[in-house]
Amino acid sequence: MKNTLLDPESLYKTCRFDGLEFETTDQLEDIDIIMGQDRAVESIRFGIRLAGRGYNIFALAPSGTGKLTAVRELVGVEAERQPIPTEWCYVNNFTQPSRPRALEFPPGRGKRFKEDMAQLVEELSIAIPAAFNGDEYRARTEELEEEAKQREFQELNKLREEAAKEHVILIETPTGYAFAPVDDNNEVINADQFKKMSEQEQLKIQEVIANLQQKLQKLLKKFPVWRKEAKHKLKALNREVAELAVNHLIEELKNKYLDYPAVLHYLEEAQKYIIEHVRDFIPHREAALPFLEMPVEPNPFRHYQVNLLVDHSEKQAAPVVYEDHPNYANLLGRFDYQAHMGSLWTDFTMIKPGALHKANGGYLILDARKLLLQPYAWESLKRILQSSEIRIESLERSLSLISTTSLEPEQIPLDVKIILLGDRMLYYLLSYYDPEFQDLFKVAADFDESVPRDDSAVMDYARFLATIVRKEKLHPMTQQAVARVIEHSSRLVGDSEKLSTHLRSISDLLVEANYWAETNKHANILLSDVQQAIDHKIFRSDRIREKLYENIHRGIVMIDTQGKVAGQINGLSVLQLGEFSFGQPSRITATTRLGNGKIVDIERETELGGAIHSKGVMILSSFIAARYARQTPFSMMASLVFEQSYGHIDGDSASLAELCVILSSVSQVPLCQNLAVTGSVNQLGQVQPIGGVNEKIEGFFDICNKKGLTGEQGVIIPESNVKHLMLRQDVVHAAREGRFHIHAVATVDQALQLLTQMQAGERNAQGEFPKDSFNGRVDAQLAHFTTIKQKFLKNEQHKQD
Amino acid sequence: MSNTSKIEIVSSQKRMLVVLDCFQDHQAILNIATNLAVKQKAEISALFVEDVNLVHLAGLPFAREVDRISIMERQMDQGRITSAMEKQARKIEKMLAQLQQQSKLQISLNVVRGHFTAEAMSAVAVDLLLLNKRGKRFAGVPQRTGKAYSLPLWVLYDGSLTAQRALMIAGELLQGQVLLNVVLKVQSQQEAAALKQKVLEFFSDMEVELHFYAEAEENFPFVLQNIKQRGCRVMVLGRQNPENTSKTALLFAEKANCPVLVVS
Repeated sequence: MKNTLLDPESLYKTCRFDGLEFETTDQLEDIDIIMGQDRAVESIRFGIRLAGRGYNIFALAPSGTGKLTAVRELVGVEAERQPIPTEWCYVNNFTQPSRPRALEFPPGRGKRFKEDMAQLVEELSIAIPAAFNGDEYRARTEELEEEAKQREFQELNKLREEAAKEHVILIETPTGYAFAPVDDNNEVINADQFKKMSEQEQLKIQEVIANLQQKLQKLLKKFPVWRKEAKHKLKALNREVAELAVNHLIEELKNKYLDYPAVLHYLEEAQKYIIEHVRDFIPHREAALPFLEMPVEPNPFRHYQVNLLVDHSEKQAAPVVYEDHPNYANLLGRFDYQAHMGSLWTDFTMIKPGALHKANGGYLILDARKLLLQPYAWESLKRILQSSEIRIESLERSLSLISTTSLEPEQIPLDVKIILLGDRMLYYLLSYYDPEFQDLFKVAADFDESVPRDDSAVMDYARFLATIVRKEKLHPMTQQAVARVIEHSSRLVGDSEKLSTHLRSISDLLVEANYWAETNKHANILLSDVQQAIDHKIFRSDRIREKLYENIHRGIVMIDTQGKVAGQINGLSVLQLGEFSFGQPSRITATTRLGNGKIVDIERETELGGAIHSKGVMILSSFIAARYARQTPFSMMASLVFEQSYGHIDGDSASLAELCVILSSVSQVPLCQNLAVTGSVNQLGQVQPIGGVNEKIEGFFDICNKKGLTGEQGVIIPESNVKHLMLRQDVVHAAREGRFHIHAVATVDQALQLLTQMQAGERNAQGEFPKDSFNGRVDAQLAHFTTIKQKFLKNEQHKQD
Repeated sequence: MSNTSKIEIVSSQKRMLVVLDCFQDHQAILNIATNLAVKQKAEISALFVEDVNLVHLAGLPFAREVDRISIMERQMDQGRITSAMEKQARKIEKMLAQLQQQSKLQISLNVVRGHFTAEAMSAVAVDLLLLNKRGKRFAGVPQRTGKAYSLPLWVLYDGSLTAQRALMIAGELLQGQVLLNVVLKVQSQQEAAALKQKVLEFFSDMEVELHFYAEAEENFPFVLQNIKQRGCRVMVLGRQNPENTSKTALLFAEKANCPVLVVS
């Protein structure tokens, strides 16, 4: 019989630094934090350098692997080689204010243009009032005003004089004007006096007054026309004065921007607008200037402001932007609104840039999950990438959430490389379900969670830890502490030949170890501090495990760790609770009886078992039939169950245990309860690897340890899992002392021999198993079932005949 | 010591007559009157003059008026005119009652029917006479308006005793304003310089920014032009002989369309 007992040395791979001697991490040099990710790094480099349309990048990796750090580092280096992009400003569209104009400037020039415009407004604010407050202007306006007034006054006076000749005066009433006859003392005659007059006199007065009133009406009707004329004259004067004050200042500015046709066009429009709205520059003083209406407006100069969306004046490289909250507005930009007179309004000065504006000409890094969770963000991003133009739209308006003034700013050309960060599932889902995804994100950068643990990698890993220590400003680590972290790194990936690249886990471990070093007043992080950090993390998370093990210890959950029982075996499963996982022993039992070759998986029947578990059961069913009933009917029926399991179970890691327990039940050969079994089997009876081997072994060890180690207990694991072993030190220690045993098996027969302490037995030339072997006993029982069944069928046939 | 000594008006209870016509909104002028009366410890007699010419005209059977805004002709009704004037009088009465309650001043109101100028100038034993009369306007042409207290104060000074009193009253009326326009009624440059010096000495201990306008002509064309440009809260002048006072007060009231305060 092959020795399946594992050497204690194979249970844990200790870290050694051959050729790299150091006392603390202070003596180690920094290393590129992107370790062992050659494929991903090369993919990102390829993606960011290839300028083609749709060559955006999706970096695939679970969270915490440091892909953001890696991407930032790589993109940062590339960005330094790229030119600083142009700047974009939004300015007023004087003809269509709701469609602000976009102006493009070389880096730094946008800021200067903004300053130039502010300077222009400042100069105009002085020059225009000065021009309009000058004596010359005042004299000319007064002249025009007086001319208009005098024209009215003189015409009214003519009428007054004409009336006076007829002993009539023009008097003012509370609401208008009236003509009244007067006596020799220039007093208005009263009704009595009027009655005393002859009829002829009365008629004459009435006639005169009627005539005068007609003339007055005619005259008053002319007044608005005259006033309009006066107003036109004043407007022309204002325009003349404004042009004198404005033109030379704007021409000066135009000369500075001769190379920018769009800017020149804007300045020309601004010039016209300023001249037409010169009143904006006159300080609001009531009736400061005749005929100039002064509307109430918060800041009339805002029309001439420059909304510089992104300022690259201080930049040394192309922008690299990471948008942590990629919602629609943060991505595409938004319009702010202000309340004015009870309603909301906006204009080009309230356009706020989004991440796409900030990253335009450079790189934009986004978290795919966050992006997909934000309403309309993903669809909008795709639309923009397809059109290569940023168009800001008010989401509130398109959803009819507000109905107020909105803008349609001119589109800005987009040239950006998007790097999405997300896990693999997200990538595959998008690839499968979103037809546009592959067109827009052609480069996948797949980050590995682990790297091979060879000598070179171990040395690099030590430097990697030293880099984190310095970056996080932690205490230096001793060589032993580094070794322990590296060993723990292997345990994290569940493989003694690999190292974890999960940056967050490692970084967290170092930070926590540093805490314990400080608490323990250690100048450096020692091995004990690292171990304390590992243990304390488990302690913080293992409440459920403790309760479960307590239940087993108290006999509430029934697990035997001694003795032999037929049809009963200890299986092992893994429970994952957040970041903490642990092994859970489970009792698996089987019953067998005469039947038609069916194995009833009770878990499956009750819909508590998953598809993979069912597949495992079908495989073992097939194995039994193939091995023991090749030439006879398979006349057995078996039922299989995980005892005291009330939740969903899945996976095939218990199929070896299930196979053994069914065969035990058939043969009625008892199985050792001091052993637990894990592993899956194939149809040929070979044992295949399973996951969580370390947790499973430790789980059974903890149960046995609590009950008291007898020196007989142990775990049977697949041989192919040996390389994954990175067991806890107490388990390794117990194994070294012979108090606990780990067996690695390659076939079902090896497992059966350990469990039954019997020879499994092989078929001889006649195809028969030795009678006293385990397989012989199984074979005999199955043959017995077949005989009974045949007899039974004969009797039935006889009865029918 | 200055030769322009400060003058104390020796009287236990001064009297201020505020003459109002039926065309203006009088709230601003009544506020000015009340503030001044409080400082001067004066009683206020308000005189609302119903224009007799208007009443007579409205009584004529053919009387018609042309509306200022619509330029439409319509019948003049004596009842409507009388009622409008009564309404105006009631409004003034209400304003005065309110001011009396606030200031605890003695305030009375008389309503008379007559000619505004004659009624105003016939008042005797009055220390302060405040006229508020609408001047002849161009039909519909907007007048220079503004918040009453933001408009500058004007004072006419000719070196007489009453003019000195006018200066003192103007000083009291400043109410936080620092600008005072002083019209110097003079015949020569030397006289102007002398009067200016007196005014400067008078306000030497006050923080006042004085703007001087020297005027020789009787109808003050230069000053009127400036008042039109800059506005006027109230024009303060000293009472001279009745004819001159009446002429000057009416000139400013009608041509500059500003309230006039005559100081005795």
